[in-house]
Order: sequence, then C-alpha cells, then structure tokens
Amino acid sequence: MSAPVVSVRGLTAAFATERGEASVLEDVTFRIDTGETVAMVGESGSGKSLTSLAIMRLLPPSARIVAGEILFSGAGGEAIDLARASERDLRAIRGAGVGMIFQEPMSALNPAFTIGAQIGETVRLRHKASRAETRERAEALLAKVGIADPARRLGDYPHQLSGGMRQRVLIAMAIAGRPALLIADEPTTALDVSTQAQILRLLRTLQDEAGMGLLFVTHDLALASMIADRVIVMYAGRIVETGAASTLLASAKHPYTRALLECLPARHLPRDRTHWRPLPTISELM
Amino acid sequence: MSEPLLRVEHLTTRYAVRGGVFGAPGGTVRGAEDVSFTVGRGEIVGLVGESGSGKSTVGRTIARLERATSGEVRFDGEDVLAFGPRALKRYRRRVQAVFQDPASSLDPTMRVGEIIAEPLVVHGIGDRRDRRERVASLLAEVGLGPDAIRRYPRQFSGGQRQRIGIARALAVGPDLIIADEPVSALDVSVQAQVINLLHALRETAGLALLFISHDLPTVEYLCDRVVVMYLGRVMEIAPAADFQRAPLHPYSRMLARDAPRFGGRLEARAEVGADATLATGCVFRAQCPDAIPDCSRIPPALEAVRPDRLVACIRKDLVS
Repeated sequence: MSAPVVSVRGLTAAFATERGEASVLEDVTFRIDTGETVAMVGESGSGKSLTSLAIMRLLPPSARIVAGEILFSGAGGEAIDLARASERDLRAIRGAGVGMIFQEPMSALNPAFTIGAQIGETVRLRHKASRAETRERAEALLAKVGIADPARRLGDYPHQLSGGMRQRVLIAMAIAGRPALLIADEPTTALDVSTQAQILRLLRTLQDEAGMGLLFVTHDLALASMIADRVIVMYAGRIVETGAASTLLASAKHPYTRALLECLPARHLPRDRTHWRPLPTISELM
Repeated sequence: MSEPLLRVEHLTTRYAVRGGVFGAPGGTVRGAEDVSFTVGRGEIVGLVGESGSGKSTVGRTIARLERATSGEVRFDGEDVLAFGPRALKRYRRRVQAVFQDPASSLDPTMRVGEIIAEPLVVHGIGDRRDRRERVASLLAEVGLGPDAIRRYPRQFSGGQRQRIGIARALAVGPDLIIADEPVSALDVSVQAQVINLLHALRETAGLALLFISHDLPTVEYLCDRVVVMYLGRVMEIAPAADFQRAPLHPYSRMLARDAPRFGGRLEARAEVGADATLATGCVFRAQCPDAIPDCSRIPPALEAVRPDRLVACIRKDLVS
C-alpha cells in the first residue's frame, strides 16, 4: 500500500455570520496517496473549493476550521497537522510541500511583471540562487511544462500568452518546489477542450515523474472519471460518496450522485431529432 | 426550396491585432473568415469551436454588434449588413441575443420587471398594463414566479438570472435567438433546466436558435445541425445526430476525441500549437494528423460530401 500524502479527518469549517457561525464543511474525511489522483466533484457551494483552500490554510478571513485534522506527510519528514500548523510552517509548506493552481491563471499572475520575474521569484523563495542560476532554473521549469522557446518566453508578460500557456506557467510555478501534493482547482475550466486535454496530459506526465499526489477539483463528472483514480462527490459541505473513478457511472450509489449523472446531456443524446426528450432535472430526480 | 430564416454567406469579420512588445508582428487578423451557413425557421443550429475559433465573432456580427469586413447576412431575404437605423430597430425585434454571463448583462439597479419590460418600452409595444401582463407571462414561461417582478438580479441564482435574460430576449417575440454560451457558467443541474427551456421555446413558439458553445455533448443533444469552426473558418456542417456518430473533418474528430466522456482515456499525443499565421492552405494543417503537402498550398473549400453534410478538407479519401 502507498503512503498517504495527506490525510484529512473530520474536517469541519464554518463562516462567521451575523447570526452566529454557519457550517460550510461538515466532517470531511479522505486521504490522497503518493502518486494518486483524487477528483473532488460537486456543484457551486458544495464545499469542494473550500476543502482545497482549507488544506492550504487559505480560507477567507471570515471562515475558520472548527474541528478535524489535515495530516500532511512531506518528503520523508513526519506528518504535520496543517489545521494547527504555525504561519511559519505553513509558508514553508505552501509551494515546497503543497503546490496549487487555479481556474483563472490571469488572476494568479501579476500583469505588471514578466513571466521570468515571477517564476524567478518563486525559484528564489525556495533556494538562494544567483541571477544566472535563477534564470536557468526558470527556463528549465518552462521547458518542463512544455513551453517552446522558454528563454524567449521569460521576457513575455502574462497578457501575451494564451490561456493554456498561462496555465502552464502557473503549473511551472506550482511545481518549482517539487511539492508532494498538487491541488488543482478547476484548472482547465476556462480552457477549450483541446487545450484542456493538453494540460491534463501535462499534469499526468509531471505526476508520473515526481509521484505527486493530485487533488483535482472539478464540476465535470466525465472529466473526473477520465483522469482520477478515485472520485469524491460533495454536496452541501459533506462528502456524499467516494468511489473508484472507473466505475463511477455504473456504481454510483448516492441519490445525489446518480441525479448529477442523470441530468448530463451526454447521457441522453437522441438517436435522431424525433427521439429528443427533455433532460431530467435534479429536483425531479431527488 | 424556401429561403431559410438566416443565411450567412462568405462572412468575414477581421480585427486588427496590435503587435506585442516581443510578440507577433502587428496587423495579424483574427475573427471570422469566409463563413457560410444557414439557420432554418424553428431550427436549432450549434456553432462549436475552441476559443479563437471565431464562433462568438460570427454571432456578434449577425446581431450587428460587430462590423463585418465583407460577405452577407440575409435575414428573411433582407440584407442585414445594409440596414439603416430604422431597419435595424425592426431587425432587433426579430433577432435577440443572450450571453454567457447573465450577471453582466442585467442592470443591477433595475428590478426584474423593468429589465424584462425594457425592450417592450424601447419598441413601443403595448401600454403599461399590457406590458405588466406580458412580463408576468414571460416569467411563467421561463419558470419564475410573479414575485420576481419586484426583485433585483442579485437576489437570484445564476440559473435564474440566465432565465431572466432569456425572458427579456423573448419579450419582443423574436424569430431567432443568438445564444452565446448560455449555460457554460451554470451548474450541471441548472444547465438542464435552461437547455430544456430553449428546446421548449422552439417546440411551442417555433423559435430558431443559434446556439454558440464549446460543449460538444450539449450541442449534440440540443441542436438539429452543427457548424464546426476553427481559427475563423468553417470546417464542417452536419446534422447533429450524424456528427455525434461520425465526425468527418480531422479537426471535428480531434474535438470529439478531446471532449471528456465517461469511459474515455487521456490519449498520449504529440502536441503542436495552433498557428494563426498560416496564410495559405488549410488553417488546421499544423495540428492535423492527416495533413499532406498539398494542404499547405490548397485552401480547402467547404463542399458537400453528402447532400446535408459539408466538409472543408482536401483529403476526400478521408472525409467522404
């Protein structure tokens, strides 16, 4: 059996509201092993993004972890509970232990600085390096994420790159510290399907090379079934189902999972126009 | 044969793109190039392609939100691109647009009742009482209660806001709606409601729809025919059911392969970037697994390989 990279147990989080605390995550428990891809799926408000933010301890200021633990095992060291780690330990772990990429790379990149300056900053956060070494390392990272002519691209500004290229740059920054766990929150949602397929292939290659655990947050069940080993389905802040990705379609047990699968157009493609039937909706199905 | 509701002929819309500091030389053009297709009365046509394919440009040009460089748009036989202000106002009663992000297209300071009634006011349709009744029936049609009239857009969910946008588009009784990614920003469970609504409108009101989307399964599910675009050009036009069974153009096949699906796998594939600068020949050839030397020389014409199926590819051995 592989070792868990992260083991989340009983994670409960709440938002402060005028009428006291409102729970947004309830008793969330799961683990991700070395080299494993876990897809976390759900609709908006399900808590899938909050879970990934909680692991990074990047919850919005009005939210807090009420209970539970997030045991992270980095390279060789003993497990540290991220739910209770100090800000200093967290800074070390963000990037070097856990990397993260988001849906909209443009908002994660500074439009006023070149790609080279931003990757360079990430590189220097990890190791003390001379300018020449930093540049060399940044170039190598860009090459690793499949960017052609990396030496020239270092001088580009974010707006000069396509959406797919920007996501590659973000991935380069996320893997700069050789993280044991990569969290990807809807990383391909803003991309078209062909670029999406390229980014997914890149993530798979990087993962195979480094044995990273990957937490892939997505609303797309079909995508989750293709890329993940296991799928976690979230609804209203709780995990309602966990199962092998390859059998998700056939063996989903929870009514919500089954309803989500049932209302996908791909499941109801008409043989011809006379066979068209309305899609079932969640309220009818549950 | 009767004239289709909408006929787009050799439509070209170009934008000038400024060169970047270290980027491509200036004067590069993107948009739509020589696009031709039709939308019949009561027909739902899907326009698919990746970002930069020009599908939104085509929609915006038809809606007269973008200026065409050349070509023709005929609506009910009339030359849309030549319309003056009065003809354009009449046209806007018959052709309405719905966009991806309902939040940005609804005025947050207006109540929903005012938002939906606005086009009626602009076009001088009915008196106050007629309009109030029309708004109530439109809300019912899109599945929202009458209490929505007095509320503000922010008080509604994304799916409800999209339905408010559709109600507003329906207010003037259009014959054609151009819907640009109307469900992409919505949750799966809400998408189903909006898709069902669009289909029902065709069935009950005979509404035609140009459905612009990058989501292949949704297009195959909802549409009668599919128009596939790549880098501004039409690659293939096919009945949706045939397209779903067997896309013909090499780009269509790539699109179908890359769309996530249950039981699918990530296939290893050599990656070649799209090249928007190809001046001659086929724009897809840099990425095409079936390209031959002639593809860099001969621009492929969109030709019928079957009566209802058009493909722009010189590899006739592959696409017929």
